[in-house]
Amino acid sequence: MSTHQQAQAYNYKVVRQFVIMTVVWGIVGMAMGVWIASQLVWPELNLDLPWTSFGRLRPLHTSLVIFGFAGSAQFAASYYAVQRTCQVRLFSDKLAAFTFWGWQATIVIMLVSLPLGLTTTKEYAEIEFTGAVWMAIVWVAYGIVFFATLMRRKAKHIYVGNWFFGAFIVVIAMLHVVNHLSIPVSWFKSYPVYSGATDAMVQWWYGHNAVGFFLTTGFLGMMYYFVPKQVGRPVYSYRLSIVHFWALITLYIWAGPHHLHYTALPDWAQSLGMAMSLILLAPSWGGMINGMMTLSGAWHKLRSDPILRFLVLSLAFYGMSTFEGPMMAIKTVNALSHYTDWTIGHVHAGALGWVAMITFGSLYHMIPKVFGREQMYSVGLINLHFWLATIGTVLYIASMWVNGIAQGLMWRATNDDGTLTYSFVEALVASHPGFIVRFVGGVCFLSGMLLMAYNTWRTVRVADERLALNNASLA
Amino acid sequence: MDDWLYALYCLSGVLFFYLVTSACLQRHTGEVDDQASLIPFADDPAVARRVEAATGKPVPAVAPDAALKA
Repeated sequence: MSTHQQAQAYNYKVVRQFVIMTVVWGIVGMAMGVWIASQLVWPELNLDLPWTSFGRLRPLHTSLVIFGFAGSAQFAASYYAVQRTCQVRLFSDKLAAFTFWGWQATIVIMLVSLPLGLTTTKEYAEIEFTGAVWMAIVWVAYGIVFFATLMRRKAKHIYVGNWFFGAFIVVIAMLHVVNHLSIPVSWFKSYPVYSGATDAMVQWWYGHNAVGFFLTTGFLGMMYYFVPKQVGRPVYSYRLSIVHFWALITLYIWAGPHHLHYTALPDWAQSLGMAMSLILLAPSWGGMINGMMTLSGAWHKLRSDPILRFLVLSLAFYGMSTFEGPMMAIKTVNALSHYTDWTIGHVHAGALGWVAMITFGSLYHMIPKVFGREQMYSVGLINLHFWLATIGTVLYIASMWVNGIAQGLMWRATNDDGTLTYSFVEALVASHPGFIVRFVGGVCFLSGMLLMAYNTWRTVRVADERLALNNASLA
Repeated sequence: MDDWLYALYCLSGVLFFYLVTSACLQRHTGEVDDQASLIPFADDPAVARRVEAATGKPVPAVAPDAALKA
């Protein structure tokens, strides 16, 4: 280890690596999303090849944006925040480096195996046996680095953001292992140990908590660190943040059955899922209000700070999608919304509006600090990115609402003699304009992501190594 | 599922939430909360000064061996 490295208080190298890969996987994953959105407008864009068909690229899109983009963002943010709030260097540079290369290898496995049709067919858990085992190994290493760093902290108290990151790591490990329990017949083919309704229940226990813990809890950890830092004010109510944490942990894990309304799942389990989803609104909004109110006395900063705008808008979308989710979990509403584009719109209200926007805000905050710059290359480009992302998200959600409600109503419409009023194809034709608007929204969002990549490249290219070292070195 | 078992199941969740939250908030005075909420600024002297000026609350000092220039 060089003298310079010894002098460093924080390990920023691994943070820098994850930051860059967040941008890279964001572009690849979102481009994949735009491609499959275009296939729904112009079906010939599936190129008549099995590897580029919608059925294979759709899980690739979700895997890349969830694990590549959102996963890398959470590695970067958690490694950055845990070091700074504990005022110690990460537990082990080598193990931290292993988590980086190991995680990238996992994403590459997805990138290769999913287009080849090697899939478990379980949503958000498509990676086949060998990849899943490798992913678990990397995740355990991540847990060791994070919790060992936490144990060596200089501050007495564990900051609440780290509670959220910690819960995210522990629960995802549990969900991943339980849902992937299977019997392999080759390196990339296995059969789950569960069957029938049990298999479905385990899958959606995992699936909903992939949203709850991979796409919410870790990002709330980000929120509790980066919003106060960017605003320059402590979190509005620390007490509320603790109640928020335990309420979220207690409730989220039960909500999965709302994905299986009107199926072979026992009715009590469906009702439990619905009730827990409705109660979940309280902690979700508690957290959202806590984040928003952190701006008390500093709202004027929104006029000039596009990074703060990203963070605040992400909270607004978090509030919106955590209201919409419980509503959609009500069985009678679900009878209309399930299997329609409304669900896709709801997911993207969370994915684009909450996950991606809080990631953008956090990355724009972190990049100058870990690369040794005073600020990003262009604040104007951040502002333009903000508007492209906002317009893209609104177009996406609005088009899917219209499509979803139209589909739900057309599918359930019956004539006086009991026959269906509309065929499936008629509903599909009615959805076509919505598919076009969704494609345009996706292009706007991807364009913003490309601007971010350019802005990051220009910032990183002229990085001041001395300033970066200074930022991370002992006094 | 048996109705009583179902009720017990739901009640155990509520009880867990109540007990664990109470345990975490025990000994959490306003002062402790203030100090904990200021942790993100503790290693950043320039920002810490601005936060102190804006909130009127002292940002907790960092242990000497971990005082950072960041």
